[in-house]
Amino acid sequence: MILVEALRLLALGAALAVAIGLLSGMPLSGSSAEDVTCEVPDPSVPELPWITQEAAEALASTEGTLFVDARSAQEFQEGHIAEAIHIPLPVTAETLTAHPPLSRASTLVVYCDTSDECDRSTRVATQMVRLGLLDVRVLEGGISDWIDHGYRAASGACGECE
Amino acid sequence: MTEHQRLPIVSLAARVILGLLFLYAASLKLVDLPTFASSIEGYRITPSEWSPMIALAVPSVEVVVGLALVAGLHARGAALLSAAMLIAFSAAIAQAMIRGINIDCGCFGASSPQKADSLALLRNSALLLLAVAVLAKPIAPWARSRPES
Repeated sequence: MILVEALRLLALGAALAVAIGLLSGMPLSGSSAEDVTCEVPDPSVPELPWITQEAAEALASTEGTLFVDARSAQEFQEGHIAEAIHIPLPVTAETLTAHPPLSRASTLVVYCDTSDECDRSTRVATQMVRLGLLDVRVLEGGISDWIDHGYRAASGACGECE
Repeated sequence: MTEHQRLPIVSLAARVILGLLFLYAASLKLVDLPTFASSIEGYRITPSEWSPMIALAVPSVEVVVGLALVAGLHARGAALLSAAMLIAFSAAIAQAMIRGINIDCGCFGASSPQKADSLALLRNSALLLLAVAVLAKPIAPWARSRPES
């Protein structure tokens, strides 16, 4: 009897889901990498917190902090923040699976370059927030300011990304 | 007041509180379904293509369960469904903790981000106790299901 009641309610819930889906126009299939374009980030995502160069440098030595380079593979190879990992767009659930340190990090500092007109760091960070990663910040001034400050940097391919 | 008289009040309070909490959680998810879908994706249990469907189904069932609990209609069936959902949510959170995945649990939508951690598990356990209390003795004069005597 209880089970029948529960199943009735479940059926009612399913009907409601279909109705809401039709009314809201929510797509019933997930987004793929091809769907990701260079559009302005979804305004429903809370505004991303920025982090200063000094604060980021102080965090660099803290366990659980991970720097994420949102630029191209070539730019990354030419020079990046020491121990950063390379995560270009698009960021999907598969990206998180491919890079377990992303989910394990307590703080993610995403950066690109100050001359980057496409705001890759904010877009990567926005997608990370949408995927549920909690403490994601965007580095003010990007890699160029980091190098100007003389903070620790490295070059070469992303060892952690293999 | 005897123990026998007190139990219905406890059950009534448990039912209404649980129902209101389900309605509250559902409303926060429904106002931003895409973000809730992303939260589901973050758990990495199901294929990402399923996330929008699950994001629609979870708050919809929560609405139905919440209304049934508050109204006292099919109260035991609603309590059973709420218990099953809470167990499923807890299992998802637990696997994220075991795998070291640091994400927003999505429990109360995007407007109130909360970590998928032991606190979330504790909260679900408390809600599960409420569901068990309703299952044990649903009380409402108009309730359509009653415990077998």
